[in-house]
Amino acid sequence: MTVIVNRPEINLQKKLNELDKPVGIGGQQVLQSNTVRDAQNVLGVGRKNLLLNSQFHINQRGEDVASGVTISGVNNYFTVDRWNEYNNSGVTRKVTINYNVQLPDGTMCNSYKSEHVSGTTNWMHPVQQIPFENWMYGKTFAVSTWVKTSIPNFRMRVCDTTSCYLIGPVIPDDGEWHYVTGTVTFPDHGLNSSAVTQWQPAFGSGSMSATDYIEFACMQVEVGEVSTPFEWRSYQDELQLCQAYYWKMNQNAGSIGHGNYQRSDYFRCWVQFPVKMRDIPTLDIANGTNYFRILSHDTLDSVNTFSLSSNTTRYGALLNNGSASGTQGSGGDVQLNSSAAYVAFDAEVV
Amino acid sequence: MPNKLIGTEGNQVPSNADLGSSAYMDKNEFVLSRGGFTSQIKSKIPNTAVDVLVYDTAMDSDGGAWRKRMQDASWYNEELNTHARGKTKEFPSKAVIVAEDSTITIYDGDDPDLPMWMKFISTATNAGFLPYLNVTYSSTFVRRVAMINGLLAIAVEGSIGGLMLIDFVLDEARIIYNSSLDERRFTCGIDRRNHHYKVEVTKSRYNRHIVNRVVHDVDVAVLPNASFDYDRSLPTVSIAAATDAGVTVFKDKGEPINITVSNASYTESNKVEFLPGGGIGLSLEAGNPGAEDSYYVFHKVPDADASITVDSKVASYRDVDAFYAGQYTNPNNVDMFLNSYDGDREIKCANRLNFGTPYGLTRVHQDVGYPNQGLSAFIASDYNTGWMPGECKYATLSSTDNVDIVGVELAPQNAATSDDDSGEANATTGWTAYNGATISSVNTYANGLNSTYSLYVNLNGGGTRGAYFTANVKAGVTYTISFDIYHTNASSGNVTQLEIGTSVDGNQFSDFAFPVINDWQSNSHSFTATSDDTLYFLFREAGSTNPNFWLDNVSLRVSEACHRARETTIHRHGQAQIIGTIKKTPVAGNADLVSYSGFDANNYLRIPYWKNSSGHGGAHTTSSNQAFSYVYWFKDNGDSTPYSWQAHVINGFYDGAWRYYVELGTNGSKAAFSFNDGNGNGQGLGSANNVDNNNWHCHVITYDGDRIKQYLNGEFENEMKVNINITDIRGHIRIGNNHNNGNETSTASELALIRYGWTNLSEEKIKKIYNDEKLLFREGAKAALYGVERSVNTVCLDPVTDLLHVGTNSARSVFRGLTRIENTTEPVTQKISAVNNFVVEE
Repeated sequence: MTVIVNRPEINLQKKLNELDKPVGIGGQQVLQSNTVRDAQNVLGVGRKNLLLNSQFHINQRGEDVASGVTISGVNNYFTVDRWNEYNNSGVTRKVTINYNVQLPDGTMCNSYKSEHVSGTTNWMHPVQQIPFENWMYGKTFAVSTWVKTSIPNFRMRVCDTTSCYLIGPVIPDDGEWHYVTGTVTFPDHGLNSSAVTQWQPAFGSGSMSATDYIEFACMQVEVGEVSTPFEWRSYQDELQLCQAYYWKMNQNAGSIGHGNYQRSDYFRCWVQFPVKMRDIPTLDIANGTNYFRILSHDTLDSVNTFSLSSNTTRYGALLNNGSASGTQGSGGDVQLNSSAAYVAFDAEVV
Repeated sequence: MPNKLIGTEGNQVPSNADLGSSAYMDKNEFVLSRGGFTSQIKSKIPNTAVDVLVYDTAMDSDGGAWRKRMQDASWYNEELNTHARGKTKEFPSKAVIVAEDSTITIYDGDDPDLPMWMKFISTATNAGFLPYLNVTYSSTFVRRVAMINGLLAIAVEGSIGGLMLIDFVLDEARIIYNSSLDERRFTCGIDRRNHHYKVEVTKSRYNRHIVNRVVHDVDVAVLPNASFDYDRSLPTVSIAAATDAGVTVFKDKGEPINITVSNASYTESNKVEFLPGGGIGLSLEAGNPGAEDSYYVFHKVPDADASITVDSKVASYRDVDAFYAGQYTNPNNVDMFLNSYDGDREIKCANRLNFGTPYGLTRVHQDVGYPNQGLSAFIASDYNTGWMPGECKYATLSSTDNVDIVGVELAPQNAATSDDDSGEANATTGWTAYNGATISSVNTYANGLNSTYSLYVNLNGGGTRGAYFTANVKAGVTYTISFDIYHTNASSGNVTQLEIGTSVDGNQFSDFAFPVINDWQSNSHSFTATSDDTLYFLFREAGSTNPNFWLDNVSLRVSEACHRARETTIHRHGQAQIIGTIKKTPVAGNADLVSYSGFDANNYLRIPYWKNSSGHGGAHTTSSNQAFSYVYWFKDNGDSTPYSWQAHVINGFYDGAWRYYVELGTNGSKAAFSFNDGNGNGQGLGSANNVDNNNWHCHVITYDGDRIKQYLNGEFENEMKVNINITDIRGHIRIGNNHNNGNETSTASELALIRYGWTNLSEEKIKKIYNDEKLLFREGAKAALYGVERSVNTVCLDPVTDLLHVGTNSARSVFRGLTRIENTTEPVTQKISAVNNFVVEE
């Protein structure tokens, strides 16, 4: 048999003309990019991160995450904003935010570490949940994160409201930072529109030992086939995004709102949320003796608590009915009266 | 020697007199002075290759720039002009890699003379990379090569073979085995490839193993989202190896991923390729080519081990995204059939969803979200179906043979079994009782489906008894027998059979057993005669204690091929029977494709209706709100006498009165469709534009379960909501003639490329169908594979030009879309590789 090789002749003049194209400095840099991510870095483009607070710098709940927060047998425990620790009964975990960690590519960032302390469990997965929206049908999502772990056979995981998928490569259990990416394509129909999607930087099963951990940073979820550079957000921008899910006031002596005595023992206070919340929130409040005070007619009226009277996604109505003591019809400024006191509005998804 | 030199010795240069005309040209003119064309290559390498590859480094991630920084590599500094090394140091920008059983040769495609650039040799006595992997001896051979970004991957087939990686960038070579052996790296550079024998076990983060050492195929690619390999200063290359036990993928820098199957009988993979967009396609088969090939697609390379449930798509989220296979008796999980047949499902080659089988070429235009709703086209040496809609139930009038076809009734006429078109009589004329049975014409119980009489076959309590007729057939001609049969044998499990052979109860052409149902069933069977002969058509019971049976509407005629991209029952049946004479002429001057014409009340085509235990015939029935599409081409000369309706395609049920039907054609000057629920309720619509201008038109109607839309030449015409029941269409399909006494025939029309499928075509697909197929209707358009060979040995889609190269034992045919734009005349038996019109073939 014979191998036959055919290459047509080439018109050099035509080829030279085709090469005669203007290439600016930026174009040259793009041409010299080694990867799509490099090109995106040159152009400064990337898609929006659907996850919030992947820099872990929003901590409205004020947990001592720098030292580590120990969580025992509680599901859906939020430490920093939007990140949820999912434990089962009898299991104790410790969540720590490590600040100013340097990743292998030189990036300085914060990382989230979830460490097994005690108890028998088969899985570990910090998670961020995003409400499902119909536009997600049929979309492909690129998921990326820096991650390290001591546990074998962990991978990223996504739940689309009806099914869960392990995506991306197995994360080496060598305790080193690894950048992992993966994609998941949601089905065209049949998802639960009232449920939430789940995005987990690492997930797996197996018997955990004390000090087993996963630690991750710069996790990103974006629409598309390819993971783009991490979207860095300012503290202020991120705070506003997070406050659609949770908003907390805990500054002692700080005002939280203004209202009036509709009766002498019935004080109702309206609170305007800094951003429209994603859903009508519930009240998360710390109660205690004289935790709150109402300044009215130059008099302080101390009360222990407030309840939620009515609210919308824009406003919340706090009510003290019975223990307030003021002048009917008078207005008043409500303040926190203890360092332990706080009022929060919670529209998180769990 | 120059005549006049200027300067002192050692620094002398020629004068202008010695430079000739070059002395007076500027540099641009000088470069182009010989016409501005580089020399073409038309070389023949007298090797028996098992694989050939055009490696164009312009397709590398860095455009081949890696070749410019290899000055310290051993191979760069190797002695040149030896038996294993050519005359240039630098890796060619365009290389031709030829793999033989025991040798791999890289040729310099930059040089018009195509010289050898580097050779990897294996003999029983020498050392080196290939001998280390037992190549040549121990029945171990090189089978496939692939290369990208300076990484050459070699599939070595044999029980002690493996995967070899030769890295020109890192100047090293490695071998990857199955799990019993560790990955090994040669302790030398590539310059020692034919001598060195020392390896060391490499320490890798992962256990880099392949699932089996018998490696049949290999592919390499840089996937979307690839990481950057700082050692090589190039994006990481992913590698896929097809082995005896499935496929192993080294995806980017991750752990090797094994794609295996749950059925131990179907583990062998002979084909693997990365697909554009980051997917992967692979074949799995039983290891006996010709029987059980299937082709699976993952839109994304899996991130972890995946197990395929053979012939199923439902195992888990890791299971396949698309599934292609030859026509198959259990097709429910197959997204699309390829151009092959049950029992002979070999996939000889595949490249980017173009498949070659012994029966021809299949092109697939994929619908990623709904792979069963994509388009596919069958092309062979004598036909081109055009793009078939997903779930295509039939595609016909697609021949390139311009000889008129004549179909006369070969089954007994004027008998109780005669069909509507052959006249029916109270007689057993033409039938012979077999083996102790008795036959009679009856009109009592089960007296025929839509007629008065049927043939009653009384077995008289004996087994293997029945009735037969004979007919003379011609070699090479395809015939279709259609019939209705009634037998009540559900309790015993025995069946009635149709035996077709050169002697009574012979079965060279059919050993076709019918499903058992307590009702009339309609069936058909097609076969091609191998010689001029008298054949026996015997209907008999299979067992010894079977009840009697009845026959009706038996018709045997020459038939025109019906192709099917997805059918739900027996698949070689139901060709289009020819009634009378059908005229076939090229659709345009010197075009391959032919039109079908000459229709009237006595000249038309009929696709038989079938009905059995699976229900009514798939090509003829729609279930509730079943989406469907009809696609075909017609040319109407405007002569609407005697009837304004020209029935091009009619799918319906007629038993003396119309039942449900869908009809497409022209009505006066308009393209039109109509449908009827059999109870006097009908709807229809004509096109906005006139079509009676003797030009070819592509007529499409689609039904989405609610509305019917009409398209002409790829453009939307109009639509209407369907208010009547058209969900139970059953019966013959007629082409060119309405059932109803021959009225409304297509006397003024020529027809071609008729297709019907159970999917609702999108506008994008309709435009693609029109734009690709309109080229087939132009003068000189070539539609079929060149030559007489239909068996496709190899296919290659040029990634730059998008031209499809198809190799058969006749030639290499080159297609753009569905049109053959050129061809060679030398056989291609092994492989084609083509990049940017640089073509290598064997």
